Amino acid sequence: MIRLLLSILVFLCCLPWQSTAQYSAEKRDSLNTSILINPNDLLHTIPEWDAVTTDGFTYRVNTGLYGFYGPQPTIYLDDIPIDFSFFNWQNLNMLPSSIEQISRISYSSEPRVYNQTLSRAGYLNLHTPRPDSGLSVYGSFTVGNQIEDPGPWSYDSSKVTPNIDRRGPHYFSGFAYRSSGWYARGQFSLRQHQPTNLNNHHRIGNYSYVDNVWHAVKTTVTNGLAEIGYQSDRWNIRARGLSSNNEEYVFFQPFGREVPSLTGYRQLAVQAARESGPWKVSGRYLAHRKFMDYRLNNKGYDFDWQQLSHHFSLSSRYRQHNMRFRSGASLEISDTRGLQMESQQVVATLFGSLHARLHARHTLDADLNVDIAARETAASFSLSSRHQLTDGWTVEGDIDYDELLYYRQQSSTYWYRHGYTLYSQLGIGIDTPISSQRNRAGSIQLTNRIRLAPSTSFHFKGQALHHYALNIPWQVVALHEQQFQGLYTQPQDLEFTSEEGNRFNLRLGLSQQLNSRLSHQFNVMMQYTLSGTNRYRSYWQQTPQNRMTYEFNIQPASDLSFSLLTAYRSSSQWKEYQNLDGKRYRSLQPQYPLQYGTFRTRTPSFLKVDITAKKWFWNQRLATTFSVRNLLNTEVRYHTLGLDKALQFVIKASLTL
Amino acid sequence: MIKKVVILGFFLFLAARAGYTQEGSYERFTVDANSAVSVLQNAFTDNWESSPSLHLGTRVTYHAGNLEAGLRYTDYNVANPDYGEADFSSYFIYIGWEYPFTLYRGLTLAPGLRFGNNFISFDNPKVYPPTNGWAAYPFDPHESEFAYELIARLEYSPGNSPWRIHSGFAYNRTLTYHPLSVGLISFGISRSFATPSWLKNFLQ
Repeated sequence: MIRLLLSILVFLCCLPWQSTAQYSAEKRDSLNTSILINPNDLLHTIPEWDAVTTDGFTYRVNTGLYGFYGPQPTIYLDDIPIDFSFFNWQNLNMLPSSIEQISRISYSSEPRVYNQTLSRAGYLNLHTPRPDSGLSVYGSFTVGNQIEDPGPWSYDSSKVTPNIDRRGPHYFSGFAYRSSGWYARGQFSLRQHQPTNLNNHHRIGNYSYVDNVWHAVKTTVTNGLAEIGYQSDRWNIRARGLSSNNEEYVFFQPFGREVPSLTGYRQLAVQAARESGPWKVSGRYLAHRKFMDYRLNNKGYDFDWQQLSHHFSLSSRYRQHNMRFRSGASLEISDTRGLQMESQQVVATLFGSLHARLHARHTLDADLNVDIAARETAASFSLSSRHQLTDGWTVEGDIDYDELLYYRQQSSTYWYRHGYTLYSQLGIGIDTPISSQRNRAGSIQLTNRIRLAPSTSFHFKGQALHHYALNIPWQVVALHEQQFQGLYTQPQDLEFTSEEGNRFNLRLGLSQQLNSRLSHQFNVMMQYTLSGTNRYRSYWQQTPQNRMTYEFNIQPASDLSFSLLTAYRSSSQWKEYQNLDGKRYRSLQPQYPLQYGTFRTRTPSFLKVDITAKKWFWNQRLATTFSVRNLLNTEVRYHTLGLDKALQFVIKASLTL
Repeated sequence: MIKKVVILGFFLFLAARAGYTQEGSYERFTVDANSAVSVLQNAFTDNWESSPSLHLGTRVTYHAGNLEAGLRYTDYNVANPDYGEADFSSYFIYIGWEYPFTLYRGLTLAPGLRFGNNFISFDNPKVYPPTNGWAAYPFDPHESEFAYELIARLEYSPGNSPWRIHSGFAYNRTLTYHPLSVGLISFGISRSFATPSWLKNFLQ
């Protein structure tokens, strides 16, 4: 199969079609959203990033530097950051944007200050189009399902099977009004998901029997946004309010299992920028309110955690012929409460960057930021030079050094040290001492971009990464058997230790724009652990060594398009769950007769093929999309406790007026 | 796996080819009505008896073939008493594409492919344990599952009449845990129209 796809790829690359495709590691100019269902699916469109899920709806992201248990990348919606990361659990479905309305993404894996905010594990910026003049209205609907529902055979006691996951329905509506200089818009979304796959339903469904009633095992996210803005030649002013409520099951790694929770997020943002000659001055005020409250469950688990933070930032940019200089400062003041804990933090950040074009073909970039907290500081810097050797060949070298404050690591152990007693509520022991070190890492990378033909671009990047200190939370869960209820995970002592090691990342990318209606691209990502402590090696085994994607897009008519996306992911090993390996779990007791599955610490390698057809109606106002995901119906599983994604079908419709 | 890749490749080839034969798109609009009976024998049809299906569909000329959408209703009754009151109704909603060949003057054969959803509604949803004991767990009375269908339709149009008669065979497979496969032979009539401008504008 892989040989066949590679042969097709090589054949297509040899065809002498015209036009040019540009590929950039940091930016992607346009986004094919037809194959995506919800914002979390965006994570799979970034070749360097890997994401794992236990429920098929929420994901943990590894941007390359901190792994799945480290801080998550900072999310921006139209250049304003959103902070809905809860103990490194981040759900992009809390974004009040339709996936169809995201026209472009930009991203980086580097921990840098981006748009006046420190993006501790890289960033993902989602760009929506500027509203059209006058009044515009938008609405969309998405629904999907995974095959292998029981159907009428549920009446046969030998053939019954638990119901399989339903995706959606997702609803989105929005309006916008734009006059000559100003605009206003409002957006609302409702996303739902039913994680009923046996692999995770037997754990989370067990929470739902309360007061003699089996409550629905369902995740529901409601989001809203209101924004006004003004733009002129010199001024750009925006104000935004955002609200999100998420009734979900948070996979809490120190617990080794999901915890029912109502997570919420509120944002108020005011941002202004003025440009005058070579100068641009920007200022911003941001208020974030995050909370994790009680969701109905029969164990009485309750995070009871909330945080209110204020962010002030000011920056300036000076640009002359061959040089650009940015500098600024930000201040974060946060007040955090949880159970009996009350804690205040103040962190100031100073940042600056320089871009110099030394020659028509040679540029130099330098970047420095310093995070200053009450008892410690963390500094990061990078130096890169870019050289255009020929008209079609560019080489770039980068040296980076990064430190990350303990507070910025967003670990639940930080709050434990400040008096948060959640661990004792959940029965989690602590193996002391707990590391409170900064994370420290250095890397060297070399990037080549080569235009093989007018239509074909080749991208090659190698990176050697050394972790001087990487804090890793480690919970080797035990098997817990409850009579009449089945087998579950039970937490033991949580370890949080500083580890050291070396990694090597290699990325290859090939893209070709055959003509205005046909394009395809191929990406390979290889990641290896070269050396390190035992814990370090075990931790990075959660990350697959090899990943490949191939995407093919064709638009045979102006109102019709087809896409094919093929993804390969090699196996991974989750050693924290070694006590469960080979043990059988079973469905909830009332789902007679009982169904059984087997815990495996190794997730299998898989090849996944998705196809999508999109048809526009009414002069592009109405778009309908039909997708078949995992066409080959292979076992697609990212996490050892995660669901097995079988063949799914998804229908989407969106209307723009 | 190779077979699936070949089918997919063929599908993409047809899609690409469609781009070069755009004449006549949206010019004719056809409404189909027919009834079908099940002819395939398997574990599913042995245990559930189906009533004659009722089908209402539409087709519109689109590039190299016809784009179609429709709904088929079928009632299923338990034939095996072991399954108790497992009667249900099925509503198959689909979109599809077909490629008609002219066999003889007025006689066409159109193979095609449909994708859709089979909505199942149970008359008496199951409850576990059956005795309504402790922590009774009722099953959802509604089920929906992905289904695909391969069709071949023979159609005859007498002279220039907009009315046509057709007969066809459809193999439908609903991808439940134990797939529901049915083979249907249908007979029906069709009426074609010049697509009204408002509908053409909508479809474009």
